[in-house]
Amino acid sequence: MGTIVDQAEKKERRRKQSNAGKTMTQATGNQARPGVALSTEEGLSPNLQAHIGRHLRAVFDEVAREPIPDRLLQLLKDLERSGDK
Amino acid sequence: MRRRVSESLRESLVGEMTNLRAFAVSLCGDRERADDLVQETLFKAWNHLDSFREGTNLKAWLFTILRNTYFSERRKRRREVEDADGSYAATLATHPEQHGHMEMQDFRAALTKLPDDQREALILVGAAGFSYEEAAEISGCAVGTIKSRVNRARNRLGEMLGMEETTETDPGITKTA
Repeated sequence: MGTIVDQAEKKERRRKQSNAGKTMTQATGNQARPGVALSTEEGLSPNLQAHIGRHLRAVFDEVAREPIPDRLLQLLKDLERSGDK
Repeated sequence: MRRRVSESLRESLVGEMTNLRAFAVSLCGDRERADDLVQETLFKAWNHLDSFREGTNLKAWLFTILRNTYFSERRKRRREVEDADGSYAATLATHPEQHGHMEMQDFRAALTKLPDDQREALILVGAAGFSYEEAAEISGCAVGTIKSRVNRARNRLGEMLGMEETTETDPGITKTA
């Protein structure tokens, strides 16, 4: 269990330490397809991309708009209680 | 033993839960399982809050925990149950409560058929509002990898949904432009 969070922490640290490294990664990523919006030239037109984007956000937002289920709120309460001890 | 969690951090945590659920549902395509994932994520996050630095990106941190939990479970499951074609998610039926028009149902179904890593990248960048750089941090891979996953995901979706490039394309925009 700890490893996941440790991993996240390590990543966080890495992110902080090496902004330079990140820029380099990014540059490498762009290299193959210089200068252009990366997604447009590998097949789908901007129209279709927008179409997919709308559906994707609809799927996501539909759930995001729902109230938080009771079992999760209850878990939060339980965690807080256990933390107070 | 453990430190008290600051009120503002607690509030932020609650505030991120709706996004976290949306991510979980879009990622695994199953609401029951998604809530299990969120629950586990919340539990882990809570117990490791001291390793989280306030002021850094809480949302990204939570998303990282959730996707790591999801992917390690997937790996375990794949070992336990030999999945014939390796596409467990594709077998998940769409939730009966997820009505809406046919187009959306088709889209949901197509989304579950994407390879995990492509679906993840697409959701992070296309719906959850992360930059390519943030998505790369969350998924633990290079920015270029995220970009190519997003591209492949879009192309696959386009194919599966039978979107012909010629039918909807603005004639002014061509690949050679």
